[in-house]
Amino acid sequence: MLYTLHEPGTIFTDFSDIERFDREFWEITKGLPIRTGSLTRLNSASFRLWRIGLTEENKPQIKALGDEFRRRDYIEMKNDSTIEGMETTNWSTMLRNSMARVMVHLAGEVLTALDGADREFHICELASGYGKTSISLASSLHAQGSDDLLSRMHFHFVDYSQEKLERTAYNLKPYRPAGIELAQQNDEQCLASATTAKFDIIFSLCHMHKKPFLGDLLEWIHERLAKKGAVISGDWHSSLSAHPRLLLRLLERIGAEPAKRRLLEDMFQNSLREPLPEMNAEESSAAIDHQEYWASVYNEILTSPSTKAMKSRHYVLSAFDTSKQRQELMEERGFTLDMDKIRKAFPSAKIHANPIHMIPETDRASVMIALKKRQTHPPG
Amino acid sequence: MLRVRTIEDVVILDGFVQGITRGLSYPTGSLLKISAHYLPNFGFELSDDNQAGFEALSLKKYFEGWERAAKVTLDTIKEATRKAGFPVDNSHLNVEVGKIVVELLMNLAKADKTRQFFLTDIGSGDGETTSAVLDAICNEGAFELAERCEFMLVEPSGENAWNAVNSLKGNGKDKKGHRINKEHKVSITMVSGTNHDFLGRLNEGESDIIYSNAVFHHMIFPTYLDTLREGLAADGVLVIGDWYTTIFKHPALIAEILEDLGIDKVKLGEFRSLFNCSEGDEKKVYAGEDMRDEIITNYRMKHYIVGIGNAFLTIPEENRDEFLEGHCAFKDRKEDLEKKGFVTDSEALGEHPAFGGIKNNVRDVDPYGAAKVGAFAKAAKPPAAANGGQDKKQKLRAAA
Repeated sequence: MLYTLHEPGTIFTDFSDIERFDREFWEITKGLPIRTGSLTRLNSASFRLWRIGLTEENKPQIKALGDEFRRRDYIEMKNDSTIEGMETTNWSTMLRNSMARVMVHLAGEVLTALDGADREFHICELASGYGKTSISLASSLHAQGSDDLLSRMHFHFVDYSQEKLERTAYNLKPYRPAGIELAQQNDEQCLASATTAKFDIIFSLCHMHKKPFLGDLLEWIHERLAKKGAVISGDWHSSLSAHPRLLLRLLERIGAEPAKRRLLEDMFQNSLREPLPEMNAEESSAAIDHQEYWASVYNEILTSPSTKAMKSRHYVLSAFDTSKQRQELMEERGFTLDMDKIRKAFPSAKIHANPIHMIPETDRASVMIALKKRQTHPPG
Repeated sequence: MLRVRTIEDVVILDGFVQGITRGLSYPTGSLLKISAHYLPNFGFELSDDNQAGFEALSLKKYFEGWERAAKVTLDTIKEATRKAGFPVDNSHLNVEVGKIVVELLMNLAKADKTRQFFLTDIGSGDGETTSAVLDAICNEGAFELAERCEFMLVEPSGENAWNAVNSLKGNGKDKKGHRINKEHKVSITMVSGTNHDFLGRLNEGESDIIYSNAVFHHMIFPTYLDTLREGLAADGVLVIGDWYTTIFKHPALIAEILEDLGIDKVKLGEFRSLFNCSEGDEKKVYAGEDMRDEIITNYRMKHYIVGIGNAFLTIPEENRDEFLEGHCAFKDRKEDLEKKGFVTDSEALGEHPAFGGIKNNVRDVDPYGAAKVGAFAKAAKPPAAANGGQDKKQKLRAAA
């Protein structure tokens, strides 16, 4: 094993070492339906604790590998519907729908504030799936009798799945928007190559937590957003992926065999001695909630009458952050979430808080609206 | 065509239909799941003598189906729904139910600044519709209003009701409730029961607003509207989100569904013979003006049913649902509402304190009218008695 050939605290910077170490890391949860997934899927801000040393040279390779794993997971999920069935609970569905409702409300307020005679709007939905948020906006406008506004709206969808994109277009067409553009592409590639007018609203629902290098995506969003445009995102937050000790706690929680826990302890013995990231009560609660969520998914799999359930693979680690870290990153990349500035931009809009924490006493889910603050250096 | 006048007749007819459709991945289920508006097309002769019995058996059939449905059933339907032809689903209806409830509440609250409000969610399921109402309150910033509201969730399944209340209110443990609870005390309680009793738990004149989403297409007779009307305050409002389609209106349309589900030609012929209909009769069903939206909706509904049927091939037979349901056209629902003492016309609602500034009391969520949310006020005068004086709750209980 590579990690045994090096000092316990060695941080790997050579890409081939990183790849090899990553494959060894998978051994921890090999055979379990709940799996770690690749280290390249983690939030890049935490890489060092997971023994990955990020450099200018290895960044493109790590990023490409992470994207590749995300694409493969997506295909796996598409081919095995039990994966999503197991990972989706009534609670998570309700919360996700609630986030979408808040996002649609915010978008409605922005559109009302910006609307003028014959003005056209461009709305972009990243990782759109079946276009839930945009279609919710369209159906809401239609229900209100705002078909005139709808007829001046161009919708742009970005997703890996051509099938979902086509279904989204099919579903949206009866609302007669001004245009529907589809891009079967990675989100950053799409924003980088977009030739249309700038976007007035960019939606992102339960997506940014999958981006290890979220800063890069945010820079492209900044570049492609119109001057008074808004990025409206709803997302899950957690510190579960921020430190190996939190993964160890999850393994203990699901009763993983001691050999697997020992392997994790051996691989990350130095990191495990480092203190946990500082967390307030809500952030702590979010990490525990996230652990409990995976424990309940694991239990659901073990008790499922379906024989397919034990064979499906569920990946625990992703690029989660706390809502505070997300805000800081957005501000660093040229956005403002400041309520005074938002109120100034949209004086009559009903926006009462930002970010909007979706559950009391936990940082687990939030919706944010962010505006462009200033011109940053060009992305890429 | 068989004449159906008694429960025994229903059992015989259902037996024939189930024999014909046996082996399909998505069977029909009982004909007593079809809206009473359309039962005469299937040979039913409805009368005061048989309605209560038919209604009780219908509810029983629906409950049996719900009890049979496992997580795998619901997940399969969800996945198939995504691939089917409707741009919207129940969550989009919930957005508009939430919005209109809050608009009505804000008007009533403005008219009486000290009034406390009692709101009832009928068939609350997992609490999604009340969650949408709470979201709409938060979006409007009407937090002070929330503290004047008491929500009651009425749901046949005790487990669902319990989970819904925990999801919304929080249980202090893993469920932390809706975000509104962070700073604003909102009262949420639940009532659950079995069969038809859950409707009977409404107290007379107590509810200021009764709302519901995607529930009443399971009630084939409009009797439930009597109970809801009794449960509403004098100026109370009923908000209904639901799906509207006439796909189950006529045997010819059901024959088309069976054909697309892959029934063999001989059995298809038997089905048509049973109801005296021929190939091509569906064109007669659609003869008339302004049928375009209805035809498109029914086509999409058929596509949806067949999609679920295909998806059901991947799950055990005992977990498969049945496709007949009590959907009707919106004009038929409106007719029921008017007969049962509700005001449906937006102009007539103009004077009602809850409707100030609300121009449109019926909102289309779907571009072809398949999904609508409507708000209907309790009329000042009750409807003419048509039940021979017997209390509706008593009738339902007697028939159970």
